[in-house]
Amino acid sequence: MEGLTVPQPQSLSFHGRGAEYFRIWIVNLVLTVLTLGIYSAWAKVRTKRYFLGNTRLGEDSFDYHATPMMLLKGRLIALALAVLYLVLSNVAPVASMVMVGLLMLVAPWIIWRSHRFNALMTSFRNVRFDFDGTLREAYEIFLWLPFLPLAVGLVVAVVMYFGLGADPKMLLGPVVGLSILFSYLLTPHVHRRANGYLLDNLRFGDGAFSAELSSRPYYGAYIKAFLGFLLAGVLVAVLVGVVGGYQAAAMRATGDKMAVDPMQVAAMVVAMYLVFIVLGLWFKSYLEARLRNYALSRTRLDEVAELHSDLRAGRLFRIQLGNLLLLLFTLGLAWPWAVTRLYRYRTERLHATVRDDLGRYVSERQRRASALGEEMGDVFDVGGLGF
Amino acid sequence: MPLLRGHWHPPGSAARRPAELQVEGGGFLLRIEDGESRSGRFDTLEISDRVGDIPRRLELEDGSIFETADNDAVDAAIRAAGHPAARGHLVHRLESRWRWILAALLLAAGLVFVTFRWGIPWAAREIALAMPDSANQKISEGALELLDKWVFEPSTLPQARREAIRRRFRARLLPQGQGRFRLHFRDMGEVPNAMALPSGDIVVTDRLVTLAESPEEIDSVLLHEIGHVIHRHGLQSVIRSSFVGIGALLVLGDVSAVNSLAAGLPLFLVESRYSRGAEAEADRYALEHLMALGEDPAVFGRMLQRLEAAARTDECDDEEGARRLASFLDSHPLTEDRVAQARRYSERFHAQRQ
Repeated sequence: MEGLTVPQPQSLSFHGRGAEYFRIWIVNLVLTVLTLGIYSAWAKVRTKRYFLGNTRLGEDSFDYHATPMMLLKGRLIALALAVLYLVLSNVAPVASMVMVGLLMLVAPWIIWRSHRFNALMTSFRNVRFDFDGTLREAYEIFLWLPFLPLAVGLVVAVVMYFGLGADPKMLLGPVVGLSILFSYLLTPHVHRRANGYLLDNLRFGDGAFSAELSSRPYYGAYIKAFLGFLLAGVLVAVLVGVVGGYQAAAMRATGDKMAVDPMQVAAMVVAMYLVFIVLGLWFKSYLEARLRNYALSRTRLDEVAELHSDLRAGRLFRIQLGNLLLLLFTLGLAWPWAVTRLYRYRTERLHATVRDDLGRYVSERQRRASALGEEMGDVFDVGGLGF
Repeated sequence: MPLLRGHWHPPGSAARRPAELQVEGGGFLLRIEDGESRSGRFDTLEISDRVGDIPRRLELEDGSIFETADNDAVDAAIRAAGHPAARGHLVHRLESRWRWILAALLLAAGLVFVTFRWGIPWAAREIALAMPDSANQKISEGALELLDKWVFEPSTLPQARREAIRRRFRARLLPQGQGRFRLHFRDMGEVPNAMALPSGDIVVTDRLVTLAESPEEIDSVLLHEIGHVIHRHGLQSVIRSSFVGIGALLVLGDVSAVNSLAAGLPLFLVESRYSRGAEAEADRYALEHLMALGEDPAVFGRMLQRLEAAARTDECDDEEGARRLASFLDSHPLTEDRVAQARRYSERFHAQRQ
C-alpha cells in the first residue's frame, strides 16, 4: 500500500453475510424480548461490532468498543422516557405534546453527544476516532436554522396584530404558509451544514478529517429530486384522471349505477399509495447518492488520505425497492439480508486513496464518553440529517 | 498447542507488524516480526468476544494489541486455558446453532402471544376496576362538548318521546347504586348510533330511536351501552393501549418504529381484537339484564339486524367470505354472530319460562 508508486484508490469491503447476521439478529431479538429490553444494550454492541468488524480497508478492519454496561444506563433512562411518552399520549395528549417540544429543544444536544460517543467508540487499525464539534454549532444547525423562518413569522404576526391591528384570522394562513415555505427552502442548506458538522469535525487519533462543502450542490440535488417527484406525481394524477373520466363516461352511457365497483376504487387507492411509496423511495435514493458522493468525495484525512464515493442512484433505488418487497413478503424476517445488502453496496462504493503511511497515527488521550445522548437518539430516533 | 497468526499494534498506534502468538500451558509467547517478543500468562490477555467471524482483539497488559482472524484457534485456546472470556462465548454458541435459535424463537413468539392475548387484557381489566371513579370521569372530560361541536346536532325528537325513554331508562335499566348515568338525545342525520362515554353519559341518535319498533328494542341498546360503562371499557382501552405501546417499544426498540406503518397494522389488528372482546362483553351484559327484566333477549338481535340493514342500504352486499375476512379489521363482532348469540339467550329465556 505504501511506497513510491502512485497511490491508487482502494475500495472498502464488507465481509458480513446475511445468513450469519440473521442468526445474530434473531438471538438479539429473542433475548431482548425475554429480558424485557435489558439485553438490547448487548444486542446493539454485537450488531455494531458485526458490521464494523466486517468492514475493511485492505487488511485492516474497524471495531466498536462501547461495552453493554456503558449503553445500559443511558438506554434505561431513554426507555423510561419513551414509556412515559407512550403512556402520556394515551392519557394526557397535551402533556405528551409538551414532551415532544422538550425533545426538540434537547435534540441538538442529543446529536452532539451521539456523534462524539460513536466516534470515540469506533476504531480503525487500533486507533480511535473522535469528534470535536461544538454544542453551539449543533444548536445553530439543528434548532436555530430550521426554526428561524417560524420565529420570524411569529414576530411578524405579533407586530402586525398589536402594531397594525390586523385580523388574526387573516394573518394565520399567510404567516404559517410562508414560514413553512421558507423552512423548506432552507432544508438543503441545513443538510449541508449537518454533513459538514460531522465530516469536518471528525478526527482519527491525532489526525483530523476535513470537508469543504458548499450549499450549491445540495440545492441542485434537492431541486432535481423535487422536480422529478413532482413530474411523476403529475403523470400519475393525469393517468388516474383519465381512467376515472373513462369510467364516469361508461357509467353515464349504460345508466348503470353499479358500473363503479367499490373494490376497483379501493384497488385504485392502494395502487396510488404504492406508487407514492415507490416515488418517495426514489426521491430518497437519488438524494442520498448525490449528496453522499459529493460530501464524502470532498473529505480528506490531513494530507494522508482522500475519500471518494461513487454510489449510483438507480442501483441504490433498486436495492431499497427490492429490500422493501423482500421484507413485505417475508413479514420482516429477511431484515438481515436486506440491511447487509444495502450496507455492502454503500461500503463497497466508498474508496480511499492513501498517500502516506496510516501507521503514523496514534490515539489521543482517551476522553470520557457518556452514552446517554446516543441512547436517547436511538430510542427517540433523533439523528440529525445523515447521508 | 495452536499457533495464531495475525499482527501486532503498539499501544494506541495504527502501526502494525506481522506477529505470531503461541499458547503453551497457561502461558503465551508473542513473536513480533523483526525479533521483538512478549510473553506472559494467557489469562492476563483481554480477549474480545466473538461475533460472527470478525477479527479477534487480544490486548496485552502493556496496552498493545494482537489481532488475528483465526477465531476457532482463539476459542480453542480460551477453552483449554479456562480463560474468563469463555463466559462471553455462550451467546456465540447460541448464535451458531440453528436448533437453539428455532427453540428460542418459538419461546419468544409464544411469550409475546400469551402476553398480548391474555396478559395485557387481564392486567388492563384489573387496573381499570381498581382505579377510583374519578379516573373514569377524567378520561372522557370534555368529550361530549367536543362531539356536540363537531358531530352532533340537537335532537329533533318530540319532547314526550324523549321523556318516555328517559323514564324507562331510570326506572327499569339503571343498575342499583353503581355510577352516575345520564341519557342524551342527539341528531346525527341518517346515522343510527348509540355510544357510552366512560363518565356514564350515554348518547342515542334520533335515527336509532325512530328505527326501533318497540321500547324493548331501545332498552336492549341502552343496556349494551350501560354494560360498557359498568365494565369500564373506556378506561381499559386506555390502559391497554399504553401496555401495547410499551410492549411494541420493547420488541421494536424505538418510538418511531412503534408509530411506523409496518408496526401500525399489527397493532391495529390487536386493538380491534380487544375492542371486539369488549363489545361481546357488553352484549352479554345486555342479554343477561334483559332476561332479568323479564324481556325476551331476541329483541336485541332484532335491533342489531335493523341497525345493520340501515347501515347497508347504501353499500352493495359483500360476499360472506369477504365479510369474514374484513371482520379481523372490525371493532365489532360480526352481526350474524351477535344475533345468533341473542337467539341462544332467547331460547334459554323461553325454556326457563316453561
